[in-house]
Amino acid sequence: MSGLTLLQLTDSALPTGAFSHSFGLEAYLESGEVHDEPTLLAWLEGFLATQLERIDAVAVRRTVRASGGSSAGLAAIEALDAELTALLVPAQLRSASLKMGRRMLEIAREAFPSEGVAQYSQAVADGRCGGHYAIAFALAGAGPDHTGHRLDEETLVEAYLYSTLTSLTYNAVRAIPLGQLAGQRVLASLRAQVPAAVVRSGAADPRHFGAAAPALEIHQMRHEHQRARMFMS
Amino acid sequence: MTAEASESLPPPAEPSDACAVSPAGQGPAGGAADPGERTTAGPRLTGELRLCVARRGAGSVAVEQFHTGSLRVLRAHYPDAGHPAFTVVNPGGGYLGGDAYSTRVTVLAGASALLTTQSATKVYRTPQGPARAELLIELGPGSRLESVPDALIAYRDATYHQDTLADLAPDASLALAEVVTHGWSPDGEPFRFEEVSLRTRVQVGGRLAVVDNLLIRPGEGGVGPLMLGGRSHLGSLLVVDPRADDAAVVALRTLIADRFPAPLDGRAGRSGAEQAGSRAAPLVGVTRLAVPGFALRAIADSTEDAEAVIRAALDWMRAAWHGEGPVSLRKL
Repeated sequence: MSGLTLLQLTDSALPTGAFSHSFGLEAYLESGEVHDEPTLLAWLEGFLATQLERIDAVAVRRTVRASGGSSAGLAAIEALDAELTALLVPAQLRSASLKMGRRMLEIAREAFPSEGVAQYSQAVADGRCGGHYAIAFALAGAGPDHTGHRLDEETLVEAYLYSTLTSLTYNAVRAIPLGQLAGQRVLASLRAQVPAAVVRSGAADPRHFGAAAPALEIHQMRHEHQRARMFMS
Repeated sequence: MTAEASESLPPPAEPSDACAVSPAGQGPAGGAADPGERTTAGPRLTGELRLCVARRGAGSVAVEQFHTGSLRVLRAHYPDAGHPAFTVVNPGGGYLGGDAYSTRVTVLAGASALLTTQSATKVYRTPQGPARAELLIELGPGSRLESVPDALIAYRDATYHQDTLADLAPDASLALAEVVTHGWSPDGEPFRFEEVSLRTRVQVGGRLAVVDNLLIRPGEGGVGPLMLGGRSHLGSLLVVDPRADDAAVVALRTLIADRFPAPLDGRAGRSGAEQAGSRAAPLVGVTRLAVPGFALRAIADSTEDAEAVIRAALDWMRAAWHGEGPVSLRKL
């Protein structure tokens, strides 16, 4: 049943490689701007309101809407894949999305097989697509399970946002370091804010798809040459 | 609508239909998945400018020039031999709500040009709807365009939407600079503008190469830690050029790190009150694009600082790739 599909898909132990990506957070740890529970929470709230809401959530939505298996849907997914490669400007962000995306496709082929997953995998194998994480995640969740049930768009966006915040929080708990309970308090605060971000992403002006936060981008770029890194992004 | 032909145009170097740009609605990135809104509401443009530059002998000249309404281009000057600089002027003095501007620049095979402005672009209150500007760029084989406008200054309650669509031949070279900041009230308080949205789509050889989407909304934490890090100015330079490979990006990054070392306390952001009045060094990031090229971003405390970072990168490219001296913008 779909509730369990969701649990497996969002399990922080799902081997997507998320544990080795900080999406720029590590550069804020290096500068000292993020150093405790309140500063971590503030950073994650900002990440949710910018990168996650304006890029990833919209990409998940567009993928779910195109996931019916039609040729028009496949063309829309291929265009979205090219769009993501073009608009993820910081190199580490782009390579994190592609690395985790291809890993997610591998997992999906084994654990969440569907026509959409197979088509996107083929497009990546043929070099027509790069293989982005948000698209792979959405296709894995949007396919029918063994009872024919599909996760809907709102559920998948919510699951995507919260599972990404969970990985980031666990990474920060290790890196800052913070106590495990502090991490859970941060997650509880974020859990209360995710639904509003889901709603906003559904009403987003198409003009703002891909709008990045400049200071965040600069940190993501500076992470490329940061010394002593724990994370790949 | 009357075309005001500039008086001292040289005779066309080639048939002017070589300058023809794509028909309306089929702009340079027209085939993209999400065209978004149109920036020009039908024919009612506040100002329109078209410019076509061709190679002649060892240099480049304007072979077609057209303007109407509140946009003009001054006669090219040549601070660098053969590489004309065109200065765009807005006689209206500033952008208001509902204004729509369109600029088309075509640089034909082997030609080069620099585009700048006479002064800062000021966007005032826009209760009638966003002020909009589009810049359509077509670069032929081996051509080159540097766009180095003065700062965009957005005042209280201003919303500004800018769309740049560029269509490049595979070996063409494009550099797009931007500086964005807010205006100040007479009593020295920073104005809180509504929204500045700058979207750039670049196609290379007909394929989507870069989408650069900058959005600043001060009301939604626009000056918060992830947006401008407490700084007042954003500088951006987007370069698509076959010479901008990994090694070039590393060389540029090293130069930028030497010239603009990160603020001493290592902090990118400033907590306003605690550091008020002091001017911190700009914080700069440089990264390789998916295609040959790079994006540079800087957050800074002044137009001068943001421009210094951008100029350093432009001048490095000029020296390393073209054997040219620094950008020299003589304001006319």
